[in-house]
Amino acid sequence: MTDDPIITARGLRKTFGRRPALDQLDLTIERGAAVGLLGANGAGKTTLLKSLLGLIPVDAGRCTIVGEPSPMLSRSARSRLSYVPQSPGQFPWLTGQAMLRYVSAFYPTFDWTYARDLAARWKLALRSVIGTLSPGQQQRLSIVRALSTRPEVLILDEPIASLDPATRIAVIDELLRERSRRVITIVFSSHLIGDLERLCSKFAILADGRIAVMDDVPWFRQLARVNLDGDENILEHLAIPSATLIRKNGNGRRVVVLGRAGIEHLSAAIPPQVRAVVDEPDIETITSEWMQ
Amino acid sequence: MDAVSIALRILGRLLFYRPLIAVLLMLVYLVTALLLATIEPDKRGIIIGIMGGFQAGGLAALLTERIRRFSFTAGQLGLPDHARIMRLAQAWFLVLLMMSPAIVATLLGMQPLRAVAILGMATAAGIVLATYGGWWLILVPLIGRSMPLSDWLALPAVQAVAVAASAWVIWRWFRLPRSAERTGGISPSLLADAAHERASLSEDPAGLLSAAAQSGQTPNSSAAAPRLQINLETGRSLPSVLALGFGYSVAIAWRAVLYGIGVAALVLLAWHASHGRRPEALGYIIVTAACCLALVGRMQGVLQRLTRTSMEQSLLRLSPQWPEARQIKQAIVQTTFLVQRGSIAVWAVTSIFAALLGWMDKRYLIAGGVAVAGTSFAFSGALFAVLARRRIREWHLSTIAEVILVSAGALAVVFVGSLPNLHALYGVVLMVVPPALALCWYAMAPLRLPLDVDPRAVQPFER
Repeated sequence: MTDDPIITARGLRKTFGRRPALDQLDLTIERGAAVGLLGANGAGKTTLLKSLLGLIPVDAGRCTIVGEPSPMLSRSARSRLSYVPQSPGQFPWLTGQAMLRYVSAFYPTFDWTYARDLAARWKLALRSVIGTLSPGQQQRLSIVRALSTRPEVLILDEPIASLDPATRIAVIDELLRERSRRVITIVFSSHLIGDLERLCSKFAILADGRIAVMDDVPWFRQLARVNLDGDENILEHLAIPSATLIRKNGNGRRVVVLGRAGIEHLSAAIPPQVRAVVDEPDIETITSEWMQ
Repeated sequence: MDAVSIALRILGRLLFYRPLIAVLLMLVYLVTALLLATIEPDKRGIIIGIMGGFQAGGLAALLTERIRRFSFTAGQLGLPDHARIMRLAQAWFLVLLMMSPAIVATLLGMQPLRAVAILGMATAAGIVLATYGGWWLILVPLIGRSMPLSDWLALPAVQAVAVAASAWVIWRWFRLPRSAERTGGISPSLLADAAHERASLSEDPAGLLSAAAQSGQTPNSSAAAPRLQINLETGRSLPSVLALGFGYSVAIAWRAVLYGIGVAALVLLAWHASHGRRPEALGYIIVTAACCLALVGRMQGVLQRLTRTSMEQSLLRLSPQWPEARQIKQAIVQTTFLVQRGSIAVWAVTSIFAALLGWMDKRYLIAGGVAVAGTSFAFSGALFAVLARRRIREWHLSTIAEVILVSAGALAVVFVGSLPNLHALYGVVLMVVPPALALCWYAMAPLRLPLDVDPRAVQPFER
C-alpha cells in the first residue's frame, strides 16, 4: 500500500427530496488499501459508491477516482475500474457466457483465461440464462465479470449477502489472492463484518451522511465499551477526553467507546456518583455502536 | 377504507398502470365526441354503444392479463383476501365500463337488449382475446359472409344468444383470480442451477411448467444464445450492440413478418370473399390498425427497456470502450427506425397485395399510409421527447401533446381532403413538426445514461 490517494471525496452532499443521503462527506482511500464500508441500512453506502464512480450526480462537493473527477472519467481511467452492484441479476436476458462475451467487447484488458478458470472453480452455469440462475450464482457471475477486467480499483456493493458461507469464503480468498499478486484497491460494502475483517485493512463507518470513523482494522479490535449510569445532569456534562464515541442510549445511560489504553484513565475522568461497567465486545458489536 | 373502495382503487391501478392507456382512452373519447357532434341525434345511442364496446373490450383484455399476473404472484406470496378484492374490482369494471355505457346508449335511443348485447359481447371478446389469443377473429368475416354482421346483431335471437354466451364468459371470468392464485401457490420457482427441482418437475404431471410459462415466470429461451458480432470500432453495429445490452432487438423478425403478412392477407381474402369488391375496406382498416398497434408496441418496448436497465447502463458506461454520447444518441435514433421496419413491411406488402388485386381504391391506401406514418411519427417523437427530458418518465405532458397533435394532423389529412387543400396541409404540418422538434430537442439535450441520472449536475462536465 502506498500513501498515494486513489479515491478522494471532499464535502460530498447528495439529497433525495429533502432527505440528505450524504452530508459534507470527506473520504480518502490510498492506493492498494482494502476498505470495508460499513453502515446501517439506508445510511448511504450505495449512494456514496455510485457517487465515487460518477454514476449519480452529487449536489455539492467533489470526488476523484484514479486521479480524475468522477463524472468525467477518461477511457484509461474507466479501464482501471470495476464495479459489482448490489442487485446481482445484471443482463438477465443473456446467458452467462454471452454476458461475459458482451462485456469483454468493452474491455481490451478482459482476461478470458482468468474468467474461465474462476467460473470453473466457482461452478458457474455459464450456459444458463442469467435470469434463471439463483441469486447466489448471479452474484458469483457478477464478481467474475468484475474481476476478469483486471481492475486496479474494485468497488463491491454488498456482493456477498446472497452467497452461501463456502462461496463467501471462496470470494474473500480470491480477493486476498488478487491483493497478494498485484496492487489492487478494494472498497467493499457489506454487513458481514467477519468477512470484511479477513479481507480489509481499514474500516470506514458511514453514519448521518458522513464517514463517522475510519481507521485500521486492528484499531477497531482494541476498542472497548463502557456503560455509564448515574444522574442525568452529571452524565450530560461528563467529558471523557480519550473517548472515541459517546452515545446516549434509550434508557438515558451513556455508552462510551474508547481504546483499551484509555480505560486506565477512565476512573480519573468520571465522578464517584457515576457507575461504570466495562465491556470488551467483539468487533461487530463495537462497529455497530456507530450505526445506532 | 372498506373493501369496495379498495377494489375501486385497485381497478384504477390495474387499468391505468401506464399513461399510454389513459391517452388511448382519451383518443377514443375524442373520436366519440367528434362523431356525436356530427351525426344525427337518433344514431347517437348506437355510437355510444359501439365506442363503449371498443373501450370495454380493450380494457377487459388488459384487466384479464393483469388479474392473471397479479393473482399468480399473490398465490406465490400467499396474500390473504386477494381473490375477493380482485372479484370486487371486476364487479366495478362491469358497472363502470360495461353497464354505464349501456345505460347511456339506452337513454340516447338504443334498444336496451341491443346495448347490453354489444357491450357484453365486447367485454367477453376482450376476455377471450386475453385468454385464448385472437385466432377466432377470423371467424367474424366468415360469419358475415352469409349476412352482414349488423343484420346478424339485429336479430333478437342472436342478441339473446350473444348475451347468454357473454354472461357465461363473464361468469367464468370471476373465477380467474382464484384459479391463478392456486396456480401461483403450487408453482415452484424454476432456477437453472437447481437441478434437483427440475428433476422432480419433469415427473410432475400437473403441467405446472406450462402454467408458470403462461404467467410470464420463465424467460424467453431464445434470448439465451445471442449471435452478435460486436464491432465497436466501426460503430455501424451500435444499435444492435445497445439492443443486446439493454435487452431488446432491432433485427427484423422475419418469421413474425411472414406470419403477419399471412394473417393480414387471410383477413383481406376472407373479407373479400364474404363482401365482394367494395366493403373489404373494413378488413384493410383492421389490418392497418393492427400494424399501427404493433408499431406502438415496438417503440414502447424500447422505451421500457431503456428505463428498466439502469444497472446495465451503469456498468456499460463505466467500461473504457463505451462510445461517446453523440454516437449513443445516433444509435438510439436509428433504433427507433429499425424497430419499426417489420410492422411497416407487413402493412406495405398487404397494401401492395390489395392494390394489385384491385380490391382497394386509392383513397383507402392513402388513409392507411397516413395512419401508419402518423403512428410512426407520433410515437418516435414521444420517445425522443421522453429521452430528452431531465427526469425520465414513460409519459409526460409533452409526449401526450405530441401524440394528440400528430393524431389530429393525421385525422385532418384523412378526413378533410387531398393535399392541395389548405386544411390537409395544416394536417401534414401537425404530423411532421412536433416529432421534428422532439428530435431536435433530443439532439441538443445532454445524454441521459443511465436513465435515472439527473443530468443537471453532469452537464458541466460533459465534453
